[in-house]
Amino acid sequence: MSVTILAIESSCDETAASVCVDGKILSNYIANQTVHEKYGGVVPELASRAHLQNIVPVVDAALKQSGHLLSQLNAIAFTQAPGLIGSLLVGVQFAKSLALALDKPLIAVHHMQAHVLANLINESPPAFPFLCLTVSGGHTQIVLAKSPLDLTVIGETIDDAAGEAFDKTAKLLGLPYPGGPLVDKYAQQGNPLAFKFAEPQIPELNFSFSGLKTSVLYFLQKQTPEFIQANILDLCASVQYTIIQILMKKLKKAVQQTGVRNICIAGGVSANSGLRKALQEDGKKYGWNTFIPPFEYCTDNAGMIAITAYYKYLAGDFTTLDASPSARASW
Amino acid sequence: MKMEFSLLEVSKAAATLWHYGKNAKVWAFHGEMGAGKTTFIHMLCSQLQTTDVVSSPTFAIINEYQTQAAGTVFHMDWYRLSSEEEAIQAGVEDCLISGHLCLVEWPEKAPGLLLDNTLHIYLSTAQNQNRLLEASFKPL
Repeated sequence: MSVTILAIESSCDETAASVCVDGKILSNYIANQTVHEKYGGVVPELASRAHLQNIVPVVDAALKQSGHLLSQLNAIAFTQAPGLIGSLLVGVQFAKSLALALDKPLIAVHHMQAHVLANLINESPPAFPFLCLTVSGGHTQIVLAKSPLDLTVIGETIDDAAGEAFDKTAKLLGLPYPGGPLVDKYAQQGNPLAFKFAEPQIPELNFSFSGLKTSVLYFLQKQTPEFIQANILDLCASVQYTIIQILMKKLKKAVQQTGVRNICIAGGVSANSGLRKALQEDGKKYGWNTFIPPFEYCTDNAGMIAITAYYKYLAGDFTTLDASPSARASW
Repeated sequence: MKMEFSLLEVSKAAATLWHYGKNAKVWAFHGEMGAGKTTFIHMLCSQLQTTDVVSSPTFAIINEYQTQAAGTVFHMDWYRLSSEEEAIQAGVEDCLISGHLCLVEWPEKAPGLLLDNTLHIYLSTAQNQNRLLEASFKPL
């Protein structure tokens, strides 16, 4: 008998739904302008109200796209943590109501575990154990995955996330916020070794990016706006190079410590061209098997919630109707 | 109260400020990007013996930690919010009136939501990369 799961993600800015059958993603729908156009209304980027407006059309769209009916579902999954409580609550309540109405089991998924397992949505997924560097606007972690349900955080940021380091240094450089993608674009035309910024001395496998931010700030305070303007490509390239160095150094250290050679990345920052290149180059150099999920499964999405829920379903890991959302990032 | 401290003395400064302000439930951290708000809060939560990893809530808006000394602590960053209405939508008000300790970065984004007994903390950079801290129960 096949296992069909509907998964709902509403932890931050995006409302998303996905249907997966036996671990194969049939639909991966994210609320965007098209949904809004169809149903009217505006796009309040950050409101739980937006999730409320989006959730029914998004779930509808995901089901339709998958060619499945509510009656064919075996379980309903939702993101339980971490995220904005108001936003999470919409997905949690919707999933619980649907599960109750359909009399189907409920599966609670941790958003950060799902980012890691997004790597399994791949034609040739990594074999366990693997290491995953999850880098996004809100998180930076190295996770050791021994099995789909045995995931351990072995390193994480003690201040800014990698994506935030991109966005905030972009802001210091006078670029619009969030400027991560723009830094990447400029960096491709600049010299990464033109300027040198401080790298943190943080023990173990943890990350810190606030020192880099301050180092860039102090440097820019001594320059004229004309200088910054004239050197913007080299500045972006140097900042990007430093952030990637910080990430790759800890990843290499994690490989040394664990002996694991299947290396994945996940999260929105895995779209960064410099990081992709660095992972592939280091992979070749050190003999790693490297994996990067398709971009639609890197940023926040419900497909990753669905694949995680599928493994939880197989393990019989269900939750009850009194499940509540949590803002806590640990699991 | 006023303090100047080096980056190696943040932990000590955090302990001093905790002693000064621990009766306040809402702490508003003012300061430019790079002034050291998140780093200071990281050290403050270490003082409060947190069992969670303290990191920047810029993206998440609200982080929640468990601490031994102060129970649940909400660490907020209103940087991405553009109005009080958006802050309320994000659930900020629920935290502020929860009675739990709230540490708020970028409070200027929704100053009307701060309660009367808010402790205002102003961080800035001084010479030699030291930090200046001024704390007051009235906005400066």
